[in-house]
Amino acid sequence: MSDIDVEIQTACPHCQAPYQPGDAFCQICGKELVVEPRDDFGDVFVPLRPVLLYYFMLLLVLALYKFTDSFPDGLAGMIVITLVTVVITVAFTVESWATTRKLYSFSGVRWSILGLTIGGAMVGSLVVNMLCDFINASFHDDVFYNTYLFADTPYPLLFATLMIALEPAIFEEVAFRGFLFTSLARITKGVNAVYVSAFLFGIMHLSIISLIWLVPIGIAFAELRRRYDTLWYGMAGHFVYNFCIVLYEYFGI
Amino acid sequence: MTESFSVPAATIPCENCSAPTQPGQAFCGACGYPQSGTEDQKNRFRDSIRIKKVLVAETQKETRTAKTIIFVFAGLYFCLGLFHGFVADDFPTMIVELFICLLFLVLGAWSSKNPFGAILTAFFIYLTFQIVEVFIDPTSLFKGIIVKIFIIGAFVKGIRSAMEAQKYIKELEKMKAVRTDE
Ligand SMILES: [Zn+2]
Repeated sequence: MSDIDVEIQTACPHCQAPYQPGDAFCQICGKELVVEPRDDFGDVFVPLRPVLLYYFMLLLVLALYKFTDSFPDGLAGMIVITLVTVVITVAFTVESWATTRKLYSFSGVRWSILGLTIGGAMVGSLVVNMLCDFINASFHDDVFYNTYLFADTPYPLLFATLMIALEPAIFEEVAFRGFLFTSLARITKGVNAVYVSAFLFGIMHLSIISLIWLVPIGIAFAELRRRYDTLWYGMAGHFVYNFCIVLYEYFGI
Repeated sequence: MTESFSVPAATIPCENCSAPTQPGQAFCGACGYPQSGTEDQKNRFRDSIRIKKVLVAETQKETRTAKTIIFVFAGLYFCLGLFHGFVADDFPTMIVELFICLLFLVLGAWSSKNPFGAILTAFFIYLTFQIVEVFIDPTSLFKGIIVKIFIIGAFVKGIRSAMEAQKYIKELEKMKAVRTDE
C-alpha cells in the first residue's frame, strides 16, 4: 500500500486532513467524517405513503372477501382474491424496484442459514399446530388457510400447496419483508422496522388470536431480512412453514 | 504518517465523551468536541446538546396523548372482556378482548421505550379495527365519529413528534450525549 492510497482513503472530506480509522469526527476541523445519505423527506407521512397505500388497499380487499358477499363462493372466490392481491403486490414491487432489487440477489445466500431457517420453520409449524389444538383455535379463522376449499379439486394437495404455501411465501415476503420493510427502514431504526412490519403482517390476516404466532413469525422473517439483506431465507422459511400446515391439515394431524 | 498516530503518548480523556485524545488535538475524533477550542466554542457544543435534549423532551410531551390512548384502549378492552365473560357469559369474546387488552399493553410498554414504532403500529391496528367494524356493521362508521377523529389526529401528531424525537436522539447519539441502545 502506498502512502498516497492511504491518504486518499482516509482524508477528511472537509479539510483533507488524514484521519484515524474509527473516527466519526475530523480531529483537525471537527466536522463529521461520514455524512450518511440522509433522506430529506420532510413530513414522515411522505415516505410512509406506499406503506399506508399498500396496507389499506390490501385490507379493504381482504375485508370485502371475508365480511361481504362481493366475491364468488368457495374456490372461485379464493382464486379471485389471490389474483387481486398478487396484482396489487406486483404493482408495488415494480414501483419500488430500484430500492428493493438487491433483496432478490442469490449471491451471499448461505446454505447453513437457509437450512437453519427451514428447520426453524418446521419446528415452528409443529409448535403452532400444537398450540392451536391446545387453545382450540383453527387456522380457518385466518383468511388465508382454507385448505378444505381444495377438497373437490382433482389434486387437492397440489392446489393447496400452490395457493396456501407457495403464493403467500412469495408475495407476503415480497411485500412485508420487501418494499414495506424497505420503506419503514428509511424512516426508523432497523429494529423498529422489524417490529412494525411484523405487526402489519400479523393484523393483515384479520384474525386476532392468530397474532400469537403471526407476530413472532413476522419478527423472525423480518430479522432475517434485516440481517442478511435478502428475501430468500424468508421465502424458504415461509414456504416450509405454510407447507407443513397444509400437510397437517391434509393428513389430519 | 502512521508513525505519528501510533506513538503511545499519554492520552487525555475527552471532556465530553471520555474517549482518549492526544494533547493538543483540536477536536475529539469520537464526538467532535472542540478539545483545544476556546471556552466559547466548548460552551456552544454543550449548548447544542442541551437544546437537542430540550427538543426531545418537548416532543415527548406531544406524544403523551397518543401513549395515553394506547393505555386507555388496554383498560377499555380489559373491562369489556370482564363484562362479556362474567356478565354475558360469553367466554370466547372475553378471551379475544383480554388478548386485545394485552396487545395494547405490549404497545404501551413499547411506546415508552420507542414511541415511533409503537404509535405507528397502534395507528395501523386502530384503523384496521375501525375498518373491519364498518364492514361488519356499516352504520358504525358515524358512531362516535368525533372521538374517532380525535384519536386518529392524536396518533398522526404522535407519529410526527416521535419522528422528530428520533432525529434529535440520533444527533445526540453522534455527540455521545445519550447512551446508544439497539
Ligand atoms: Zn469526545
